[in-house]
Amino acid sequence: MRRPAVERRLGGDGVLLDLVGRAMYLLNPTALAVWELCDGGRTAEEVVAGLARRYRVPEATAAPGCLAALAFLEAADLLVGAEG
Amino acid sequence: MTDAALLATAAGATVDAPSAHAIFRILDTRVGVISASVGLLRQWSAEYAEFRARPGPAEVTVAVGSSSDTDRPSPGEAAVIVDGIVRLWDGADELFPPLWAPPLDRELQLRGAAVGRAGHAVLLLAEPDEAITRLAVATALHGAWLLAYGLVPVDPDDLLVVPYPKALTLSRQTLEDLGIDLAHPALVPFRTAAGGIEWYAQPDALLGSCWSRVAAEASAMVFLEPGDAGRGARLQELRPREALARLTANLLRMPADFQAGMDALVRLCGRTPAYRLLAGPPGHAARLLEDSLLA
Repeated sequence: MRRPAVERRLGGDGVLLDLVGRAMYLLNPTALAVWELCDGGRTAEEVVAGLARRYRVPEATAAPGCLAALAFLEAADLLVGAEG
Repeated sequence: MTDAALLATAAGATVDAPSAHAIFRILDTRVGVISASVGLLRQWSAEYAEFRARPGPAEVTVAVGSSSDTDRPSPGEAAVIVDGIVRLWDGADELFPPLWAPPLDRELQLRGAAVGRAGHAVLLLAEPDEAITRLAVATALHGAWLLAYGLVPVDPDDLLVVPYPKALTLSRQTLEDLGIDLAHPALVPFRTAAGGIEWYAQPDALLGSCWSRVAAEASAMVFLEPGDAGRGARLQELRPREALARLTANLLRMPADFQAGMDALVRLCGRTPAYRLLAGPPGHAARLLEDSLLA
């Protein structure tokens, strides 16, 4: 589940404003797509599958970048609760 | 509250201590100073001469109880009063101007300087030091207007760069680099906290150029970085996300309204070209700015 944050676009990148922690995060397009897929209803595997579909690549290709983005979002406390 | 009572608020002051008074208009806010230290008020008056305003009520008052003319007040020896609420100064933030106190905290506050021509401003962003002073002065010598020095305030609503005409602070080395004689009549010496001597100067008296008093649209953001003295100055374009990261690092403090402030930073980076400037030898960077961004 995503922590409440305001999302902005800057070029092809994303900017997340964490209003509770008063922090700002820059997301590359992959991390931005992962953030959008983390709607609270998907497991990590489903997020990988969703990212693979979005970029039309095999899941094995999408997985490393996707898991790295998930790890970043979790480390920043932007995701609340485990995603499967 | 009487002046004496304001001064008594600051630790160490006596109710009948003599005090000096001044009013400054800073970021559209009237800031009053009541100071038992004449030396301190004299220094602020030199540094912020262009901000002095006619006597009258103040929205923010800085009261200094310490009467020493040579030492800066210690935490607890001064207070800042806004809307009748007295806050003893704890030394964590600058005492004057108290940019952390509302309503002075409304604008985005970026470290650096701004120069311009024809209603457009180029933001020169870096920690205030000799390099940014040299660049701002050298650019003014080429005919640009100075819009802000020491701080670049940006209105979070319309993203206009707000004039901030703080006096230039010049070291001996900077004056030598710029070929300015130490006996120039525009130079006002002062002793630094470290015991050295530096000089304040108003650019119009020193350079013959003038402050611009009109808010201007940001046409470029330039982040100063140390260059290789053996190579010429270089401008390298930055992607918006790189500009945003650097801009955030150059914030003097987080905006009081976090979301509005951060939104403004994102919008500024989305529409304003940004560059890193590798300075190179003195003089090269000013010529490069002149040719590339101010022509």
